[in-house]
Amino acid sequence: MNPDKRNEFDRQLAGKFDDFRPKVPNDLWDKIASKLDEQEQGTAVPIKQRLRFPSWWISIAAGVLMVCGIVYWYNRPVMVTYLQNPVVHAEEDMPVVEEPAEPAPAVEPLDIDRLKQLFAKRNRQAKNENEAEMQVAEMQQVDRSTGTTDNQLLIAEEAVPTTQALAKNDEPPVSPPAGRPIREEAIAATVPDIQPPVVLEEEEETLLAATEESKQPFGVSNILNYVVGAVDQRDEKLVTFSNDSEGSLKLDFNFSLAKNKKKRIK
Amino acid sequence: MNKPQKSTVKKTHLPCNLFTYLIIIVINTPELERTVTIESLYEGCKGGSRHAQGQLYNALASKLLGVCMRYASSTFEAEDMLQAGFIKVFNNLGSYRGDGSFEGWIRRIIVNTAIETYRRNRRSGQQVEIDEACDDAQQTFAMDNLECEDLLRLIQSLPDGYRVVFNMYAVEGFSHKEIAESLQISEGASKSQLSRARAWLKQRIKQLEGGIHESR
Repeated sequence: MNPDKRNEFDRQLAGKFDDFRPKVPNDLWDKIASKLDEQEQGTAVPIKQRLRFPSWWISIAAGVLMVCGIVYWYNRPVMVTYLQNPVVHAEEDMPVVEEPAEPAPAVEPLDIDRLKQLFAKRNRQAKNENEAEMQVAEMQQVDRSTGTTDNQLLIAEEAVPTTQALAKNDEPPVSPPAGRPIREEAIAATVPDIQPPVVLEEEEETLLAATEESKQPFGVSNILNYVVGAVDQRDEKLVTFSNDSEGSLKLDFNFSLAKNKKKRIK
Repeated sequence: MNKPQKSTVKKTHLPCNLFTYLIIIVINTPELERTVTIESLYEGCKGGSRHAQGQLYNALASKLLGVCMRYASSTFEAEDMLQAGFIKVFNNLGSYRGDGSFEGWIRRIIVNTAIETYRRNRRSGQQVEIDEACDDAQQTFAMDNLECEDLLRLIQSLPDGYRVVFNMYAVEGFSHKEIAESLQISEGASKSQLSRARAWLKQRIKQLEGGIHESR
């Protein structure tokens, strides 16, 4: 701006303020110095370090933590108070001592040769027995046809060698090989024993029922039943009171009696 | 026997006398005046020396508070402007390139702070308009009888927009284009506000001078 063109009024006014020096408050510099100190302390940490963890990362982490917290809260373990069978509950809490597992018996593979030998032996024994029976039957038929007294003696005499022959046949006809001893007991041990199932739960239930009945105390239901019995003289009562397994009062109505009563009234 | 006793007394009093002499000399010594230019304080202020910053503040605070008081509507507001302006100066010393004088650079920052304060307050406050008045450009006044405080009171009583435009144009020497850009108004608005502010001030000064003459 050209100072020559400047308004005279403006020039006079500006000149008035050239030497204007108002009094400055004493504490103003202290305020400025304290502000500068605060800024220096604040800027000691670089801005890049402050923004190392951006806000979106923190918000995501906070969201994940919140979800985990909610899931845990709804699946937290709740203490259950059992009204019945405290003994059973105590048994559940007992630590389970693991017994060392016994090693399973080694199952020997089936020896087909040995089995064949065994079956052959049994077949021979059965054959011999059948043959002996057949001989006895033939001799009896011959005796019937010829005579009785002498033939009986002959049969007795001839029967002896047959029995002896049978006895001889009992001996093992074939000796087993030296390297393979016959172990029938071991083969039998490999077959698991079939045992009937033991039903214990029913017994426990019956036992528990028995104890509950025996432990049932004399309560309000007994008094009410007595009152009902005094009013209703019949064998079957219209209303019967009883205590529940949890101890609550239970009412049983016999509606058949009520119907009969109505019919009588009509 | 008496002579040695006297000597011992003198010896004990000698250090005390020396101490008092030293104190008297220090008190009566004239202060060592050291001329420190504002330009020489730049390096110290840039290095963060609080002492140099304090010296710069002491040298310019009063003058710059006068500038702020012309832009502000009250002394408290002017002090806040000065505080914010000096903090800006100390934080932005690196941007000073040495093109002009260091004092002129500081003054410009203070004025910019004042304009910024006006713009911030303008958003929240309401604008007061001055009625159209005839401004006689050639009219002169004898302001010698008026005190700076009286003129300052008149300027502070102007509405905010008029006051800022008048200060920027009449005192700081800004053009209407610069005023329009910095205040985000049109050049026409700047011109009209300046004309109205001038007319209003002339009217008030006339009244003041009349009053002064009547009292005399």
